[in-house]
Amino acid sequence: MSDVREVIIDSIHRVAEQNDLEISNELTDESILLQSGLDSLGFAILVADLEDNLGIDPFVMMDEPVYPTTLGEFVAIYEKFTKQEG
Amino acid sequence: MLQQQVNGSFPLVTDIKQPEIDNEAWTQAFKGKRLGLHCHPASLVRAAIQLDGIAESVLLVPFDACENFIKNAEKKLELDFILTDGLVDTSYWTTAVLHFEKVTSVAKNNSQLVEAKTNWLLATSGTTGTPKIVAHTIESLTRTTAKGRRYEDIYWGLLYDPARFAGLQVVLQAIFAKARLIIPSPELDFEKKIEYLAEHGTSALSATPSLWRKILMSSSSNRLDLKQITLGGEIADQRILNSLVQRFPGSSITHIFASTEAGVGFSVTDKKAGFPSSWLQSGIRNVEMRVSDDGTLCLKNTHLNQKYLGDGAPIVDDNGWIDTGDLVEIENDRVFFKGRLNGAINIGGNKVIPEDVEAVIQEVLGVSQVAVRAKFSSIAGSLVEALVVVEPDYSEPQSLKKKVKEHCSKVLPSFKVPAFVKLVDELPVGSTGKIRR
Repeated sequence: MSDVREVIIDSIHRVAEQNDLEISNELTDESILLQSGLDSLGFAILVADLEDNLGIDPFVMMDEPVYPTTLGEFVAIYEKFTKQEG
Repeated sequence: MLQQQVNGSFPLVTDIKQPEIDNEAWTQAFKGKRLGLHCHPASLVRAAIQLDGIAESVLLVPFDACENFIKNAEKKLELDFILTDGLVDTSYWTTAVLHFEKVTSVAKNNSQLVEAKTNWLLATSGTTGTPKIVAHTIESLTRTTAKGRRYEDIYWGLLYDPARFAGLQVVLQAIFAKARLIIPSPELDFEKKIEYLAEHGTSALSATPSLWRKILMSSSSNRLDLKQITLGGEIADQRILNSLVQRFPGSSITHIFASTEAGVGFSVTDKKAGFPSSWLQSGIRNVEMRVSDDGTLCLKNTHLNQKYLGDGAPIVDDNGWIDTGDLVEIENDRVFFKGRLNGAINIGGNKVIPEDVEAVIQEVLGVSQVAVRAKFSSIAGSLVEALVVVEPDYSEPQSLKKKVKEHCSKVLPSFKVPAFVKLVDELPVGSTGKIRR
């Protein structure tokens, strides 16, 4: 398990807790983000929270942003951009 | 007018049983009347087509209208009937509520009115707690709609409430283009809505930039075969335009600037953010433009048929100019939108007035001062951030963040609840002594 993945999972739970959202099931790479329990506002807060924690917002860094469907795709985007920054 | 446009039948695809409407009975019962339509979006579209040119005025009620909305509407307007299909909660109305299918039992009314230009009453998205109601005519609403061209093979999907300005625009566009309209029920889960739209061959779709990001995240969006993409309600940045070009190559992409106040504004089709600065001189399609001394965009429509109801506030100055309140900046040959002059925050198309949220946060014990401002979001456009100065003798400052959020969640809709609460020693104050947002 990568560090980035852990930071993301922690952040999902923190954002959910702070915003009265319930994360539905155990989160796996196949989990569909829009059905994970985070609503669209929750997802926006997650991306802002990750910017504070990881120092990057990949959705600003991409000229043609790709929007992920699953948690696996979401993590992969962050891993790619964290490496570029590093 | 709408009846003539659809010529008897309008191809509408939806997942509910559509209501039976007795044409003769409706004409007899509702000519010259002031009505409210409160029902499922698909029924609302059907009933609106029927009532145009018959009723004196029709208030379009959002399907999920709350008690406050209803009270406010009844205070501002005198309504004869509320029409419903029985699929929404109409229990808060004190006006007589009439079921679509029982209209036959209404006695003929004696109005002499033969052909009326129906006033369509729409609530603005609400810059304060009490939304304003604006009266439109079909002419004012369709000023820039392509008329006479036929697009029978276009299937417009409807993700907005047709009782709101943006939704009604989509409906009218479909009617005037003789296109089909696909309306999934509003209570369906988002993924299911997109699935429904894809299954029924949606080829044209209108949404806010934030909603488009959400559509791109849904797993069914791969099955959408879109030819026309429309963005509105929020600033469309270059990134979301690029993402849409990439995902739906070959589709036409239009971002529109429109507000309920200004009637239809204008649209931009070159897949670039902002609009050409030459339009400030030349205007575009009957809309003249200029930038005010405050840096806001002002528009002048050559056809303008709308007014506020109930509170008498004029929306145009003596020369016909409307100040949109949207700040603009010119960079190279382009004019870009930079947010609202009054500091209003746009969260995925929903407007938040910082002062409204500040007033709620002030109610929390332990809060000395508060400033609410926008925090940039690459997903929702903006999020709400609250800066809070704690009372000096308050004993548990660390628990205050949570208390602020809890209190806001109780009294405010979720998009107004601060996503971030920061405790600060003092608020950022500009040279004029005003809080810098």
